[in-house]
Amino acid sequence: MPVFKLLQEFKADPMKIFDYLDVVYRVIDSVETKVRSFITLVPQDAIFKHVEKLMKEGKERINSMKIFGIPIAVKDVISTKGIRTTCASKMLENYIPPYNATVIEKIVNEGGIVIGKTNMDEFAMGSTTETSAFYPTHNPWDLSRVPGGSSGGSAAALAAGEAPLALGSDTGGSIRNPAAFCGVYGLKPTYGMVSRYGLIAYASSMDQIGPMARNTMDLAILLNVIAGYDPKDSTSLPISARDYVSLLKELMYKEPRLRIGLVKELFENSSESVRSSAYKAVDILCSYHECVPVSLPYSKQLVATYYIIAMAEASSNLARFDGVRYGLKISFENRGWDEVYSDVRTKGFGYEVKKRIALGAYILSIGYRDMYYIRALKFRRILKETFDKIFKSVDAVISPTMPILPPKLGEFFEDPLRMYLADVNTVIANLIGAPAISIPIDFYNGLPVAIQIMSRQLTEEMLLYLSMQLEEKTGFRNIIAEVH
Amino acid sequence: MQEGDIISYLEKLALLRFTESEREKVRSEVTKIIELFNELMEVRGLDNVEPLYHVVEIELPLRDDEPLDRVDVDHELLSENAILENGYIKAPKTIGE
Amino acid sequence: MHVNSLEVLIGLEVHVQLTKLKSKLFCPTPADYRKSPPNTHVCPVCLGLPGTLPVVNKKAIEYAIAVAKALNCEISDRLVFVRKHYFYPDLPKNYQISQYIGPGFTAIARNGYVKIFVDRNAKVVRIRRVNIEEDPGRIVYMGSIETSPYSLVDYNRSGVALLEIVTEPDMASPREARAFLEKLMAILEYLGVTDPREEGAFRVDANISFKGFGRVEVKNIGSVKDVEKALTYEIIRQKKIVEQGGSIERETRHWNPDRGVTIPLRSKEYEEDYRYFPDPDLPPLRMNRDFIERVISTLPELPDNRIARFTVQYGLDEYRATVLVLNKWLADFFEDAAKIYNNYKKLADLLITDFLRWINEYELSPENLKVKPLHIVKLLRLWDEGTLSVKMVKEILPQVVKEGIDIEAYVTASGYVKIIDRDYLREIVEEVLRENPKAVQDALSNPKAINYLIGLVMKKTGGKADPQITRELIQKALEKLR
Repeated sequence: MPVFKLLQEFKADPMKIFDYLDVVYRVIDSVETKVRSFITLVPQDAIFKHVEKLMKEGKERINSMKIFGIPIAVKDVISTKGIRTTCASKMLENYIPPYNATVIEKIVNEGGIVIGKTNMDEFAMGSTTETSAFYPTHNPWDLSRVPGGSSGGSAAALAAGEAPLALGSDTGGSIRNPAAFCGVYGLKPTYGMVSRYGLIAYASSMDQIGPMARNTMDLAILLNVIAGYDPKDSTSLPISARDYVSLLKELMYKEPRLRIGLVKELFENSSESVRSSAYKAVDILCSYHECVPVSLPYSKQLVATYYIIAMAEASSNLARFDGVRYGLKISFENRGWDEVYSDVRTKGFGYEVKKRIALGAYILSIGYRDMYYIRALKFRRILKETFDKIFKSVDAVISPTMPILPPKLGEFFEDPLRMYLADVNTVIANLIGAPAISIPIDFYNGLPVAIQIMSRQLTEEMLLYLSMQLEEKTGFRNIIAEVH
Repeated sequence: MQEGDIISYLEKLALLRFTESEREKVRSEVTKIIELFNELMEVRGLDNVEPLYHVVEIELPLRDDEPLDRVDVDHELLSENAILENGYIKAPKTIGE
Repeated sequence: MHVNSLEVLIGLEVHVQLTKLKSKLFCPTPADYRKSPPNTHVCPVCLGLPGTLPVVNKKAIEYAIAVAKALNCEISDRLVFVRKHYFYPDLPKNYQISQYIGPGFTAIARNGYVKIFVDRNAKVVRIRRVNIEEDPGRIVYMGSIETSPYSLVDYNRSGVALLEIVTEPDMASPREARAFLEKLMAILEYLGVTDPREEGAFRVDANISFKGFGRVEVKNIGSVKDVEKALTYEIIRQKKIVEQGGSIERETRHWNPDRGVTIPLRSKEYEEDYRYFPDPDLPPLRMNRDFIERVISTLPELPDNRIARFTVQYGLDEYRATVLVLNKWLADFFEDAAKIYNNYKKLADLLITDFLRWINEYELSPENLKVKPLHIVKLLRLWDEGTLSVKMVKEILPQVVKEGIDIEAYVTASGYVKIIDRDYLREIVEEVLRENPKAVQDALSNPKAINYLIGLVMKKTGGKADPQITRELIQKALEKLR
């Protein structure tokens, strides 16, 4: 059942929350051993106690809550007070944050219920959730395949019916990639739209927390909860909160005709299977909206730029993990600081994380900084200007979210570069701070295919509108995989 | 780019180590990744372009100098995650101070 | 090469904690940590917990601008915070947020200067840059560093606002370095941004070299006296090496105040690369003219401005004006007195010499002085009139300073009624003789006519001149004329 229906039921009869939670936990019980979406599950009795407290809020307050009684799966990169937050890493295996991320405070304030922390690529570095230090998550549509990453656990939980709403984080496509591979909806907001306070940082200039759900309206409902200015985040946009649910309804009513650009290189670079499904979306949208071809000649340069900036910032953001104030503890009496620091990081970080930290330090070092880091930032400006120009003539651009179908577990192990290059469609939005949504369209041989729409900054409602239009035509909504 | 022992160089820079079994893999991957990075050399016309550090144009917000009205007397922020001794946090000693 | 002809180049890097701020630089944690138990003045941000973000303290920026202005710097049109990476247990994020100079980012202020006086000789020390940055935490040891199996860290200090003030190597002696630091401390106290006497609030790294030789950095010196001592020690140490034909390599040393020596720090195999880049968590702050003007308009009159005003308004020379102004309360005292007394030079002289000396001698606190400007003015007036001689003024002054006694009452009670100051009376006598040539002629011929002259002297001294002495002096003067 979509969230907006659940809300009506819960507000009319809050006892229904318990029934729904029973269902949710039963689903989790039956599929978790196969899918492995979660790292930490809050026990049901603790949740029930929380709900009992929640129900004691006055009727007026309850009616105003945007997600009263709705369970949410939260990617384990977001700080939850008192609930273990690991970033899927041995480094934080036993870390219990003493504070809540701003988005969690907002969720709790609006009656949302955090039922667990979902699996991810370690410290969000990866595109398949295979670099998790604990175990990989399996795609509910085909357990031998990856769910995508790095928010793979959140996407899989939605696809398997383990939760109706989920939070992910997106630095280079980490919400949209798993949304596409798992056949769910995922939105990366405009940079600065959602507070990063409490989001354990990977690449600070590109990270954003975003909503994931099984239909467009649910996405809008969750976006309403988490978006908004936060004085604790100095990169948070100082704009007044907007009601995306109303905006979406309004646009669906008015049905404005938009100009949409089709990024031909990104279609051409996709596999045949993806392309044919993606064109279904093109047919639907372009029968109503005006579609024009748009060219983006850069491809390898995009990926290079993304990884240079991401690795550089990551090496800086992860420098703080030394085991002193939190994190992996090893014995250090009579051992020197440098040695222990190196030891903690060698034992605590997985291979991919170590590799990116090392390369990031390299990129920032004297002698290479101009060649790589500064150069990448210059190219980033060129990219932004290119898209500023594109968005003067079109309202949005469209491409397949991923150029390939979900690969098998272990398929990318031998060739990570191939995996990096598969990010080409999604990294653009992070590099220029633009909002982008992944919309599931179709199945190809039983595997989900999605398209991505990106628009200029602060136009999330336009993305939601186009998504809703597609949803209504494809019928791809509230679909839950039967996990074999 | 340093030929030869680039992995040792990276290990020193980043203060972490790769295991024996990881070394070969990382050496070949790093080589390929740096090749990818070098793709940026192909792009012309970057000389007079300013690096873009922030993708949204916002002014730095400033906070009034109002302190919180309480302090962490019970070490709530540290007791679960750090090793405390008389209120201090235990850490490895630094040599040659 | 004779060692004494070698030019000494001293540059200083001063880290000043902005102790007058109530909260830390990047978080609202209370900044007054000095009397608190360890790790209590902390929050997720200044502990560097994962996911936390910095938010800048507005007042800290205002203070930084005030200091930059007082040091005559060019203030940058944009403030950009950068990350400076190094790994140390007292640095929670293993990077420090500071400024640096690079493509698209720079220090908050550059290219300033400070004028100092050493033995009344003026000298300009140039300021290379001013940065604002966060303080790391503090490391302590159980027992000694050598025997302790681990260290203990306290993050109370982590995140407190620091100003880093770096000079050019313009100082040529330890004495000049001290004069600079004293003026800098006075400016900072003047602006009300810090109390440099608070423990750990004022730290100095000193760079010293003989021209043509390697530069030695002596790190983390905690007091102005120690800076002078450490530099003096270094000069001697380096002199010895050079005299014996050795060379000085670039190195970093540590000042041990107990043993009075500098000791080398273990050198690193590689040059420290801090991997600076602008902090993505902090957008730049545009500091246009309006912003800066607005900040400056809220400041007290800046020291150099007040010094300039004193030279114009009160006709004081720069040296005297500087001494007054740099002891802010003394300049305030001076100006209050100057409202009712207009021999400004005399007033200034008394204040900056004996008056100040007695204040220090009695360790009086400028906030709670019993002596008021009016007391000093009254003392000066009696001195002007000749009721009190210089000697008497110096005798009475300590009590005036300590107790703030009413001079006139005191003088009357002690019998200091008549003017007996010979030098003073002699001048009056000469004046009277000059002004009354006819009376002089009369007195020369008629001894009784001397009374007329005495009368004139009495008139001039309001009747206070001692008649005996006056008669004696007039007679002496007349003798000379015969």
